[in-house]
Amino acid sequence: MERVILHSDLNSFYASVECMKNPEIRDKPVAVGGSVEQRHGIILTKNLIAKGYGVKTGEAIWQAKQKCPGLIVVPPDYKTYLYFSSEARRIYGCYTDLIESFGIDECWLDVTESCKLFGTGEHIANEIRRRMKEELGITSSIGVSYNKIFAKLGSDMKKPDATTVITQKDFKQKVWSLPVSDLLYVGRSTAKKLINIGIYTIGDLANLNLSFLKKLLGKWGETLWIFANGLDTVSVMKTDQYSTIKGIGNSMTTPRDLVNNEDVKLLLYVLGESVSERLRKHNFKGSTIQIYIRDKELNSIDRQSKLNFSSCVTSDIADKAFEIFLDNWKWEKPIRSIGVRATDLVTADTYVQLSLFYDEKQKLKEEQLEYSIDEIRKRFGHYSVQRALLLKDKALNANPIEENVIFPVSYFK
Amino acid sequence: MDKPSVEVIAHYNLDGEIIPLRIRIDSDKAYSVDKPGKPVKGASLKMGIQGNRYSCFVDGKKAYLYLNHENKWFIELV
Repeated sequence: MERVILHSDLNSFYASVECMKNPEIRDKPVAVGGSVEQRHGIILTKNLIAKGYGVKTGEAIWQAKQKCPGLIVVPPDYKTYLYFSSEARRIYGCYTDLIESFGIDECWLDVTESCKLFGTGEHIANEIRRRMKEELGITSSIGVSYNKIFAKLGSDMKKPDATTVITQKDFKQKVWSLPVSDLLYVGRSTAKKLINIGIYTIGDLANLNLSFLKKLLGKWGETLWIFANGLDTVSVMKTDQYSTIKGIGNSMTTPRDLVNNEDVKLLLYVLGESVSERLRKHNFKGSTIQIYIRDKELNSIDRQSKLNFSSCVTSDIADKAFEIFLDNWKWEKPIRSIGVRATDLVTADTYVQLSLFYDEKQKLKEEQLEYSIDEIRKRFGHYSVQRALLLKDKALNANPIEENVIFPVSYFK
Repeated sequence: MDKPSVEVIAHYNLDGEIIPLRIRIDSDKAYSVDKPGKPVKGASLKMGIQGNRYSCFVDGKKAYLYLNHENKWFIELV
């Protein structure tokens, strides 16, 4: 049976919520942006009026203000955004239990079975849009199709506040004429490779010889070919905002550039603390540590290395991260942002192979110490207990757990 | 813009429902909330408020009372 899948995209979500809250800025160009002083000064979202001036997501606030001098930039209010996101899910939940979040403002809904109760997919989509406006005061674009990929393409086609239906009969007219970069997972570099061989539209990609495409792009070639031909059969996964955790990481764009090993060590400890605290909170230990470094000119590298054991102790994670850093960074340019991630997770209370070569008792002690620190911080606040190292530079010290709450997601779970 | 927030005396019944009884506007004028209806989710674009919306009568005039996600109350005269 043909599936009925909806993809709902809340239009310029952060900006819409801000405009909903503040009627006096609603008819002006508005963008939500990070703090300039903290050097998070980029545009996170803009409303349609600002878009008309050519303001783009991800560009610096000063660039945006050059294009659009009257631009009103408001700071982000993640708590309210999460509230509106969960309210939107409440509305989706009235129509189906198969809801898969894709970031904070997008969701797939499988309404195949619900159609018997509520009418066609298009009807349900229109109903959701009406309720979204009435109950939340924000608009959404919804794509209706028989697979997740085309549903997502549909939600991008008409904005704002519109429903787009793509069926098995008309997808060739509606989808195949779109530029290939519109397809999920065709990023800048893949698009460049495809355009080099004269593939401009999704239709061109779909009609390409599969084995040729595999040679060009590897296994991604096949995935994209399946996407383009509407043969994707991945089902909508019943997930809440919290899905299975594969890795835990934090990154930070620092208030000033990092210029020496000292700075980096401090930052790696800040991030290591946050990563290990989150590992302990979810009862995990990680055994692979990855670091991510981006320099002033926005070139970035990723490097990883394995620990000899799995750990949720800050010093293990931070020291390993620092070791990887020393092996891989030659200080040609100052660093703008840096990240630490722990992967290869195991649950913290599983049985492990003990080692003859280091002191297991000491390891246990360290772990217990960290759990105690968590307890203290829970009662008296994050800054009640601190490492001496972190007091060296107050500007670089932060608590990423409280300050970063929205994490990126992948289509492949 | 200052949103017209109000102080409220409410009745919490055994089912956990909240029914507003009296409101105070501008710290001196108090009114009783007449015929409060069941709350529905609603947004007022005019005032920039979203939350549980009670339709009711205040001082003989039809009004909406909103209880938002931060537990603040607002009034909108219709």
